[in-house]
Amino acid sequence: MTVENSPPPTLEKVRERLRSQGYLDAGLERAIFTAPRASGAIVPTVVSGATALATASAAAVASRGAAAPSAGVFLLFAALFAVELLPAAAAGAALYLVSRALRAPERPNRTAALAGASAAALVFGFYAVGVRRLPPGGRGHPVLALIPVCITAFYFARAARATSLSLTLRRQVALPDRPAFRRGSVLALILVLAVSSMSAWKGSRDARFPNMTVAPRRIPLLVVGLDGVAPESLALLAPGAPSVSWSRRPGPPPEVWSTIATGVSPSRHGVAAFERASLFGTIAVRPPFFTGWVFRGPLRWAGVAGRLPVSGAERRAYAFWEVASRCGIATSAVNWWASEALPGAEVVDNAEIAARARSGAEVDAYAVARLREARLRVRPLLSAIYLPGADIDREGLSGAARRFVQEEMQKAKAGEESLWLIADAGRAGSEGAAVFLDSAAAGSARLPARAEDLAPTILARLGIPAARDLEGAPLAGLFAAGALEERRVPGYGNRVSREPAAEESASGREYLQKLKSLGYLN
Amino acid sequence: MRGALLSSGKRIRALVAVASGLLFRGPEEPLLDLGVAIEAVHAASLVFDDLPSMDDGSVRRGAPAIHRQFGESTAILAAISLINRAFEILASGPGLPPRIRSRLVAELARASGEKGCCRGQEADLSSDPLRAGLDELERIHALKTGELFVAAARGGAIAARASEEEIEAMTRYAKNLGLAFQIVDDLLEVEGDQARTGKKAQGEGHRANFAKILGADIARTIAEELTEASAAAVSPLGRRAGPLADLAYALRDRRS
Repeated sequence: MTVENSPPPTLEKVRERLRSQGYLDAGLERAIFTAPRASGAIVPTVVSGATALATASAAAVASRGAAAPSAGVFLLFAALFAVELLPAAAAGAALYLVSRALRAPERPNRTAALAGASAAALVFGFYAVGVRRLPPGGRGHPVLALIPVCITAFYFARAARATSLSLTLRRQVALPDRPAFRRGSVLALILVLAVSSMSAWKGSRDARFPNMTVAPRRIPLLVVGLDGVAPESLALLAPGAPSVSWSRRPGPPPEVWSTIATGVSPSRHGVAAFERASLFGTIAVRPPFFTGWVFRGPLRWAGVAGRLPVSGAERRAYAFWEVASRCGIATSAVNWWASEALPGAEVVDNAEIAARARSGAEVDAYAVARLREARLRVRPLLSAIYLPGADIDREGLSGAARRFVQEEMQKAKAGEESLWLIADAGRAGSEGAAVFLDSAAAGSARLPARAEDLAPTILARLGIPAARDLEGAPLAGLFAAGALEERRVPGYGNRVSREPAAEESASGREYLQKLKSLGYLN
Repeated sequence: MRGALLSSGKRIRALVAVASGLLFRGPEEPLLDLGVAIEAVHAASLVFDDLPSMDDGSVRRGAPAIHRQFGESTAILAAISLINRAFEILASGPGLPPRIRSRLVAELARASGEKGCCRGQEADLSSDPLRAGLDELERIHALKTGELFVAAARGGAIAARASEEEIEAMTRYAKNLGLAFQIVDDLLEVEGDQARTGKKAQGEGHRANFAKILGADIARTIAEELTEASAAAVSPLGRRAGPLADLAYALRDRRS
């Protein structure tokens, strides 16, 4: 075969051969990203990542209609940037390690594109989580808030993609085809992510409490929450009564008991800890991803962040006593976590009880006393009390709680009221149980259930239609036919706190101090 | 020696060496020494290349080949002397510390010896011009021509005490530039005339070259792309790299 007779190679073939020999490679990525050293490649990703994540957090705040801090938007952004540096650095480190592990992959362009897409998804994930964590306001602009998120996500994605490419190709002699940056595909991805993240906001606005007609019950219902009581102990307390039990994921008492009170999981009710952080005294945030120390340390030292104790301001779902009260049922609720005053109802906040107590037994005693006062005043059809003495003192049920429960059991046996005892193992475990001293409850076997089932069951027993969007459902199998309201409504709407203040206060600090002295927050 | 070194020529390799060094603010005199040394080695390689035992060339740079002018034995001795003179200049020139000088000597020795020009010349002589393909031609070029381009660019950067990353960027510049230069040379050889190129036109000649193997259109496109890659390789180094990029474009557009 002679040269003259051989067909000339195609242009693509020639390029491919020359690239394999190290030609047609300007080494731009290497020249830029290897100077001054490899770890320097991460810096643009971390900086653009912190910018994008801070923008996402700020946009989430804006989409919820929170007031801008008096100190200015720039300072808010600077504080958020400082906070988000940590997750951005973690993302950069992950990218660095993965890229090192994937050095000279078969399809570096695809790997880099995946890194970029992951970066964009992270930003919108932050936005969606931020939106879900914040209580809804009335003046939010979620679509406008998404614009800066899209822009910063775009640049973060580009930085992550370029970093991935440069790191994976650092020691590869021949570069693949010049990676095409498909602007259209990236914009389409950003659009899809943006629309997806809107689902976090969707339905949170203009959802109002429905009009419901309720046929009042004649027999009052008392719900007693016993924290720190194992399901077995509860069974001994009320042997033979119909009961249910469940296992839950580990969590602090405010989270666990808010789940029981609302019928939805923590991601929806929003109560997850004993405390939150405030920024500039106007915005309350839950520190994201192990960044609590930034709020408690540097930002607090700088006077930018404060500490807020758990309160009803952060709960985004209605508790069962709030739904009952809105349906016109006389209600009293004493000592529940994340509760707040309610017009037309007797609600005694957890903070008020804790302020007077020095031990779990005293907490129980004060709570019982306050419930008795409330019952004398308003003769509620629904009463709810939370007794955490056993969990605080770790000595079993306190004397006050035991006496109270026994007295109420006598009333229940006499048919004067329905008594539902809800127990949670507290810090000793992650199980819960409930017994129903109720004339309409049947059966003696303990049935499996979920903590989220209790709120809708309480409401259905009061004749209130349970909401379909709750994660739990009425325990129909445990009650006689007709004992539970069978009608359903789509949802109860969004709970907006009446007291959305986010300012650190002396009373708040005292409450946190009291919680600490009672054995929480350790 | 004078006839070989001072005949008309473009002095591209010397230009690359000096421009590379000036890019990194290297001292001028040692850079000129480096350029002279590299041109001396290149001139010696041309003398050897034209010998009857090798390519048996009769015309070089528009004039009769050295062995045609002064006889074969004189040509061989002149070429050897040029190489020795080059290393003498590098090893003893003022203005550079011994560590840098020894590194420059090593660079030039590698490019001109068994891992560079000599190996390339041997591969060229043993190849079958009618059967040589792209890979073989590229290998011959890389050793015979490319290595000296790379040594010039790297040498300039080394003399200016550039960082390893910067030296690496210069290597990529010279590697792409060297092949682009060779392809354009081959295109001119096929299409041009002896008066302009100073070489015998080889449109019907005996040697395989890129223009013949790839076809003129593809060869031209590849030369363009190599030039772009060459210029891009030094673009991160900023405005001071402008002369090197201009040199790459000028070589692409040359007519002789």
